[in-house]
Amino acid sequence: MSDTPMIDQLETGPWPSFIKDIKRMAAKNAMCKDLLGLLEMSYKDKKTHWKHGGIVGVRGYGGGIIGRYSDSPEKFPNVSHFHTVRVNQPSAWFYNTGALRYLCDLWEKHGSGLTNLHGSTGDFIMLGTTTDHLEDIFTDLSEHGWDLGGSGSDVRTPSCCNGMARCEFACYDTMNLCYDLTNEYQDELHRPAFPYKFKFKMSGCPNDCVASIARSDCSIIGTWRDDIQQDNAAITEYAKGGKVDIANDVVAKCPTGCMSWDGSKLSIDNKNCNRCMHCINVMPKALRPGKDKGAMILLGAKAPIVQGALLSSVLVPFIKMEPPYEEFKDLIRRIWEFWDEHGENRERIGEMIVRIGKGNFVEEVGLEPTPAMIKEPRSNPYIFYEEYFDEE
Amino acid sequence: MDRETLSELLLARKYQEAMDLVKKRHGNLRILLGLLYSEEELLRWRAVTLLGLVAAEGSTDLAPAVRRLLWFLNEESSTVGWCSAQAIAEIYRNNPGMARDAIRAVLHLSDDEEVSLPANRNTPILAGSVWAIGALAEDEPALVSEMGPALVKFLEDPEPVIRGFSAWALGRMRFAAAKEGLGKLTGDEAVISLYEGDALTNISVARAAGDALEKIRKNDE
Repeated sequence: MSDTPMIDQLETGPWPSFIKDIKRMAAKNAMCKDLLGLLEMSYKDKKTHWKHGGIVGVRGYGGGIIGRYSDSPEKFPNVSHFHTVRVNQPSAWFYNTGALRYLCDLWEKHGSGLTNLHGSTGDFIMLGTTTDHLEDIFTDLSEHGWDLGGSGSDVRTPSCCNGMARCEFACYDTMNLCYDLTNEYQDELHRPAFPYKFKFKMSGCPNDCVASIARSDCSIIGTWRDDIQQDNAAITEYAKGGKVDIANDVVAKCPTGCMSWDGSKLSIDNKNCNRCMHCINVMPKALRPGKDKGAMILLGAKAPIVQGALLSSVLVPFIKMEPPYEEFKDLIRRIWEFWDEHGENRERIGEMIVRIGKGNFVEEVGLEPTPAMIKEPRSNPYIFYEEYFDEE
Repeated sequence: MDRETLSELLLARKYQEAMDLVKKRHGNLRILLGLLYSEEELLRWRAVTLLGLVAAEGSTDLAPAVRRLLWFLNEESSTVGWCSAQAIAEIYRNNPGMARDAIRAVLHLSDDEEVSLPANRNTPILAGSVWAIGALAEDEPALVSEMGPALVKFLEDPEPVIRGFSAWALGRMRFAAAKEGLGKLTGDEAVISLYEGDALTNISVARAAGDALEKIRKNDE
């Protein structure tokens, strides 16, 4: 009989199983063998046998390594330590095979060989090593041009969609901005000094393929401020082709009702378009984002930890997003300064904004309030205008 | 201000200029806290010293920073507060009100199995706590005296820095019960780097133990 009957069942489902991967590695790595045993014990006991963390790292950096210890080192000595190493991924996760081979070889040499591509912050995650290997791993990575990612109360590894590298909808160069911010904020990334974590995520268009609006304290989402580019000949082609029912599949699904179709001509009231991208996604050959492109800045998303989950809300409706990004960086400096001074310990910036009120926050970071600073399209303006009350 | 400017001022012992910069803008305090992670050992220590001076001057409330530094010593934080213990101790020594809630947790890290047990050992963090005990020993003897027995045990620690810092701290505590343990270290020629005043000195564990014994003997007289 198998030593791990309970976790064996996980291999029988319809999905690829992580147990199968661990078993494969267990044939040549003692850590993985003990990992299976520890996991089986967790399923049997109905509780985790990982302790809740650990204080480990490499000198010069305050983050990048997540300590993990088991509570059963006597039974499973090879996973008494099972630390995670976060490696700063390249912008938009473009690797060549040589880079991937190097990372995997390094990890088989110093760790369990198990990886997780990619962590929710975006890093290349290496699972399972011991404290005595950490400095060697860090040195090796550095010598090969790699760096650790963020963890703890720092700027987390910025991440982005593949933007202009592959996507015709990209309204700014996400990969360039991601690379620029990663270099600009090295100190903030590696030397935690904030009230809590701060994540940047960059999407080139409102499709938001990296889900920045849900997963980052600062979402930078590409947009445009002129009219959708419209190719009427291509629209006619879509209509004739029969694959797209423009009236039902496009116009009827426009969330703001800003489009009309008379059977031969598509009209868009661009002032009422909220950049949902639906029409562009359905007819990409006929419709494109406008020519005056940039990004909107949203703040405040987070998963539920200290308080409940939040989505980002609009802070800057439109900003030109071109190197060297000085206007954006100046805004970030003011935001950090205020959060750093007034944020409570372990308070994400979105939680602070909820606590103090968006109107106060906007004023403190030196922005003029506008009706476009919204929580979601066409609802919930945060700011009550004094003029409004004066008229009352 | 940037990290390089502040680093240069600290390495040149230009504390007043450095303090003026830190007070000028709140974001500069964050840069100072970032220097606690510096790869350069002297710079980390000088950042500790400057935090103490800022605390003593009193116009900048460091209590929120202390809470942050303490969180960085928590095993759940995914941060490693390499010099958090030393910084909190130095802030407390110069302005107890700013670190009153945190100081006992820092001094008792040596009781914390997440830091001190061999399986989970984090030597630099543990050494920071031992140094903190020593740093406060002469100004706050009542606060640190209960840590004496723990430090005596550390005189047999496999890590020279733990033995050396413990010996140094026990001397500053004038902890008479440590004499036997300190006596056993008189041949321990392992060299450690000790920060005292605002200077780093390389001394042997034997020398640290000898100095400690001398202080205890003088105190006995």
